[in-house]
Amino acid sequence: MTGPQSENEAGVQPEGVLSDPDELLFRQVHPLWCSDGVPSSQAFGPTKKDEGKLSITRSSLTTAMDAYINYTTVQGLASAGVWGITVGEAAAVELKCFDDPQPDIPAHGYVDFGDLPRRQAQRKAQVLVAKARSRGCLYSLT
Amino acid sequence: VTTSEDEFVRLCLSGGRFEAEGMPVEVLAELVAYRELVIGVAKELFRQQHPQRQRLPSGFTDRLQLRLRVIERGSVVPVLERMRSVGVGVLPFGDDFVSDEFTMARNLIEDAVAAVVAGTDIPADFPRSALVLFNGLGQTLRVGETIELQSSRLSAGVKYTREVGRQLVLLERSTFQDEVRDIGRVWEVDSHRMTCALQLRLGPSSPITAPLDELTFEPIKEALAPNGQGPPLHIIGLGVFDSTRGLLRLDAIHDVSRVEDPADLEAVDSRLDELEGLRGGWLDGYGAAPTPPALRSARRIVAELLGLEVPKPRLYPTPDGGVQAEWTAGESEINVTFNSDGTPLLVAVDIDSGEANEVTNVEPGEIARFVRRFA
Repeated sequence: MTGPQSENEAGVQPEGVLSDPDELLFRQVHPLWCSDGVPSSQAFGPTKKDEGKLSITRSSLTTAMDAYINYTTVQGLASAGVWGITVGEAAAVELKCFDDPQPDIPAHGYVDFGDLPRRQAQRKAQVLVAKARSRGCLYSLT
Repeated sequence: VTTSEDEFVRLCLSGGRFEAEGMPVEVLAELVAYRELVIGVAKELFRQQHPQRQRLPSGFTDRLQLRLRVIERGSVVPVLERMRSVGVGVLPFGDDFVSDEFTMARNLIEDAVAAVVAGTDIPADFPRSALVLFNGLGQTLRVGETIELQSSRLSAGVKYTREVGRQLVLLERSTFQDEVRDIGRVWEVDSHRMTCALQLRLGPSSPITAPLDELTFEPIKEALAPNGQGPPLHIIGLGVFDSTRGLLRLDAIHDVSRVEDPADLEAVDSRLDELEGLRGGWLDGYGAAPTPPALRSARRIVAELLGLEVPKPRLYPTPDGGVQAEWTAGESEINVTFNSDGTPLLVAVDIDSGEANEVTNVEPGEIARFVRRFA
């Protein structure tokens, strides 16, 4: 892959692409990436282990609270809370979002950063986190 | 009356602050330091060549009259010209510059710098006792800034940095001098000896000594409290470093000022202490622990930024062993990543347009300008 998936020559969207620009996508933020209740831009960009796919859960299939409970109890991972961006906000920085259900996470999806160079991915993450911050924390235990 | 001049050297200053318009005034000290280095090496050359003489000839140092007439562009290039004669009707040294000690000193300095850069031995005829004089050259240079020594004998200039100077000094000494910018608390003041003991935030675990003068005595004395519990101070001075043990003492204090908001500084230190305690795997089994260079760089630069009245940033670990500082300023997101080797990278993004600026090896002053520009 040379970049985020794009439409094919016939103009057909790739399989699984999310098309509703208003759909909210939930993102779990690691506690160390939350300082004074503010998430880091790093939480909205992929790390090396993500291979360009930033995991999210879809608001059309679950709630922020259920996404949080699944993440922390079923998957046993740490989260300071749930923040969100929309499919349209990702598209505004030229990123597509995909449905990607997993056995334990039926609402799973991802924002596709492809193999963008790290610094380019960071810039997009800085834009996305600003959108998420302006929306505020959607769910947390505190 | 000076009669004519020859170009002696061009000091091409590049990187960091020198990429902006104009020449920072404080860097003029480098021209003085360069002259003192040339004179110091020339004196030693004379002594080598005249072992029977106990003193230098009268007026020896006056033979080197350097003038700054031009500052060329690209990045900043002060051109030092050497006056051919000095005084009224007196030609104390003739006009043959080619073989005199000062020209030889200039050439040897260039060759010594080139040798260190290339990883080879410095010229055998470079007077070893003069190596300590490199302490003075480059004290105002910051990370990423260089002085390229360019004289007409060279086809290409040789690049001098603080690190090159440090290596040259350490060829002969076990210690070297370098600028210290830190925050400290006062533990002792000895008004009889005019010295003090300071516990520096980035320094060794025990207080170090520093001399006082008429200007620094009062502000240091006012910050003295039992057990170093007085208010923190911004300290700029000249430190003496050991190649293995780090900072040993201060040889001078150039500036002292109160930390404006100690609570912000304490919050930053508390957060960085928390990040310092992280172990590998902190990010759901991944993520390297923040490295000492990254933490040190973050502590130093963030503290300087607070002194420049930049708002306290949010601080986060990065999976690569770095530390990231983040500011929201108006419609811009500004990140400074202190990489695992300590080098800072600034990325500022306009949220509306997506337009981005990147600066590698960014200095605190430049970060402050970015945050203020977009706030």
